[in-house]
Amino acid sequence: MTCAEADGLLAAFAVGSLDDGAQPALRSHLVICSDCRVTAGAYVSAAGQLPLSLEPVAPSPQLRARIMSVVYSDAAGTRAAAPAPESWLRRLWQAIPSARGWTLAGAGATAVAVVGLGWWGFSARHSASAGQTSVAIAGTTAQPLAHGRLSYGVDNHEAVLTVDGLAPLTTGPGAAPTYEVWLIQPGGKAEAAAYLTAEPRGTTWTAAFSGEMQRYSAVAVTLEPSSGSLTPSGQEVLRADLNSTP
Amino acid sequence: MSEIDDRILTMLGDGAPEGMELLYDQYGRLAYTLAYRVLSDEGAAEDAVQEAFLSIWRRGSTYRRDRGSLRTWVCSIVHHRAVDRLRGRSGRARQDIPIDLSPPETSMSDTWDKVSAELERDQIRIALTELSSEQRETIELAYYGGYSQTEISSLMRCPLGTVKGRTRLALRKMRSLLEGQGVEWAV
Repeated sequence: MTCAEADGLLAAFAVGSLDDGAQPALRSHLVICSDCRVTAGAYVSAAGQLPLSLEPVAPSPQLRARIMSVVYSDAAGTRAAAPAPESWLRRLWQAIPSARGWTLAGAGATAVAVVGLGWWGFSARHSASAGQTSVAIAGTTAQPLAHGRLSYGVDNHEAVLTVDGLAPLTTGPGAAPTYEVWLIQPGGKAEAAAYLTAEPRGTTWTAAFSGEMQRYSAVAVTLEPSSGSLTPSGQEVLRADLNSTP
Repeated sequence: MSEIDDRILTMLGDGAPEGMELLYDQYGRLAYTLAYRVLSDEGAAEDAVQEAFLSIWRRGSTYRRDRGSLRTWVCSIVHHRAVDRLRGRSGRARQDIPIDLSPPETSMSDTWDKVSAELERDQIRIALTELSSEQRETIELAYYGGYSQTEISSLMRCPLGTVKGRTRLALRKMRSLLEGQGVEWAV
């Protein structure tokens, strides 16, 4: 790639219109060309002025509160999810209707739910270890009070999602909807992972599943029909980034 | 870099959550304004800003002071998140690969804190009116519409090379005009 060719692509990169197929070649060129890196910086700076031309719009005060809630939770580390007790995992497995099991299998998810593991084996493996990582998960505007934590083992690929503050699912006529957990690939494709199950004597929801979290950019929870969904179709209620760069 | 930006970065580097409070108070409104312009939906815009700020909190150490102003960095993260949501909503996939950049050699100290927000907005709007309508439309489709160059080429019914040229010329012209207005350039 010549610098002249790169110049046109750099401007596109600055405004976010670079075609995906052009990125690898441009990146390779920038690695070796300091002049083009300077040019890229100038274009990005120019594009960075565009938001300043907009008439300011204020977000709701709740947005700041939601963000800071997660930030302080992360900082304090007080909401680290404890491994789900064995009886919980057993109830989780028993609570999954056969229809949901088919849905998960049909999705071809590489993140295999507890369904395939056996609850006692999972609980034995899922104990605090040096390879554990946890991230806070925040409610979206659909459920601003929801918050939780995803804890997962980097080595054993097993994860537990614990959430508080979710709205109870309605129990009107017809089957109640469900909260479905998704693992989001960097390209945006969602893989069905699990369903949240509510604690019978409390307001905490839990899901246990497996997956190589390093492969995913985010975890999300959506409200889906009772039989689940092969792809996210309902309202997103929770989301957390995993491994994506800013 | 302004004193407040410096303080924010130091606090974030130390993992102090108060740094995020300062960051949000400084740039939250601008971030939301940008996200709302892209998404035209209050809830989606708030979600995009939330994702962006939490991403900054978790990855704040990746910011390098020699790579541009804090404001530009925050806006680029918010912009990416908003466009990702926009493209996800419309089914258009987006794949982002981080690209290392360098600031221009003629970088100047950040003096935006000395210029009122109104004056800034007017100056940038004036600069935008100096662009041709085609250049302005190209930039709008790209930056706020989340369209790729190929998609813009199709929408505007012009060759891809023309789209590239308009984008490049528009940004160069903006920079030149803003510098000509005596605006201190925040890298």
